[in-house]
Amino acid sequence: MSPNRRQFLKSSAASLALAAASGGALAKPDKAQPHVVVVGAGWGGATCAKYLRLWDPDIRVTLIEPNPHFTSCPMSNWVVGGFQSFDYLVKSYDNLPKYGIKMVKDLVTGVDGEKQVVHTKAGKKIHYDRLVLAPGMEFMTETVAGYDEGAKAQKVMHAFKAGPETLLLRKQLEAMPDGGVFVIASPPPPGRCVSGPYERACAAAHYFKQHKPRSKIIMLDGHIDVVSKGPMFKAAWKEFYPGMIEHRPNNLAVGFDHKTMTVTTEFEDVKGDVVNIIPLQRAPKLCKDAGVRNDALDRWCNIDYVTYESTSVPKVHVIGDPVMSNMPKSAHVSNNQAKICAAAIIELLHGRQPVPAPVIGSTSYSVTSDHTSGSIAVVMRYDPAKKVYQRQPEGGANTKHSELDFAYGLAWHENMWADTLG
Amino acid sequence: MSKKSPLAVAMLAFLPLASHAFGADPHIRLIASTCLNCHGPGGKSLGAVPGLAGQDQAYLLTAMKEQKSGTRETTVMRRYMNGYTEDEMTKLAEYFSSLK
Repeated sequence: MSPNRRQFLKSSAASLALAAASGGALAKPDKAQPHVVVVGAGWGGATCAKYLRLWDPDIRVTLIEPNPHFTSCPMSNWVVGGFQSFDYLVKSYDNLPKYGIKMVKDLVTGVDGEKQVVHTKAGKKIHYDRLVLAPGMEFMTETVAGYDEGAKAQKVMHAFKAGPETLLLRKQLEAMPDGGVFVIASPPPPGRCVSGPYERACAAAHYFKQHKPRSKIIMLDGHIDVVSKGPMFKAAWKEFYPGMIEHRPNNLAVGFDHKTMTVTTEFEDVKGDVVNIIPLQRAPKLCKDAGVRNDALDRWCNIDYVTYESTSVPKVHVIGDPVMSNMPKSAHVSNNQAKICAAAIIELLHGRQPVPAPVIGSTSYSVTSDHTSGSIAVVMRYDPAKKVYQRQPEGGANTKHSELDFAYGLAWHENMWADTLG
Repeated sequence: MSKKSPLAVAMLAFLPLASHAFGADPHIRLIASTCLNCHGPGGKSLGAVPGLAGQDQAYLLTAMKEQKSGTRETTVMRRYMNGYTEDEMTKLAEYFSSLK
């Protein structure tokens, strides 16, 4: 057993003991217990279910997730770059039931907000007192003409939900000849992990530098500039990969022809040997069907920032990527929103006032090679008068990557996994 | 209080301060929980990021103040500490030092 695995298990035992000490996480469900149903066991949903039970073992919690394992999107670019195995991204859900969480392997297909019931693919109807939706996001592939056909032919992929597409992208980069062109097309924010495409360019360049040094990466960026950690990424590209990465801003991909491997943007046509298009995103269809995807553009979910309860459907809370806010859509933020939401639900179920001005931290690390990273960190405080999370002074990205940030980034991953699943 | 399994009762004996931590100011408990995804569940880190559980209270407060002022070299922590009030730092130091 590796030291990390051993520590992970040790920490799991400590967390479990903590739950038990707080008053009976292992107690059997009682009919009088309020029931919270959490949909989606990602960084947000799994954390929310776990902290609901840690903080109030009198609440019954059901966590519904179709996938048998957790797969991490953070670190998936390490797999793209060839310096981490895909297996490393996959973690077990086995610890969550130990907190008294009822895990249900099923897909939620509908929400009846009036009857307070969720419907599942297996035909179950599950009643809730409070519902937490944490389903991540879906891609608006219809905004890139030809994307669906290209994806079906495995000539293009987003690889922005870690899974088979991560491995497909890696395989195609391995098969690409030296001197080939790798095109990464990314959307403007808001969307999941805005620094992800730039990190991906670094990871691929790290691989090319060693094995295919004549290759080139063209970034077709839908945003006006490198939107996250810009100075840090640009300095790293110049230092480590001079002439290899070409960043073309204001260049949103609108079409793809998989027969000619050509990406069409609003300004030009670009051919690639390997093409990775990350389309615009929105809250998934489940959110729309539930009536909580309610912003003006029909993309995101408006919520109360104290409780994360939908502004349109009572007793339905939304956390993570689907939320309409100025907070980044990241694993770290999803995990923290989950805790704010869990604490608020506990107070609401007890008829008490939730913490009125939550404070949330946001951190992300991006690798620039197999031994260096850059970081971003900001604290955001909810301002009840202005009804918005305010960024606090001095927050932001560092301008230089470092080996120390790489080490801290690795520790961040280990602790995030343990905090969410351990 | 609900009936506990023998296992839960046995675990209680090893964690006398857990209930104290759960009784903390909800605002502080919530902020503290947002520290754990970097510093490890229960304040026990699995990697290079330092753990916070059981650290000396005065040391924690001094470290946070020095991070904020910039007299202590950090990577992300100066950016974090500028987001918290002095009162929150004092209570966070008390909270984490109470965790075992």
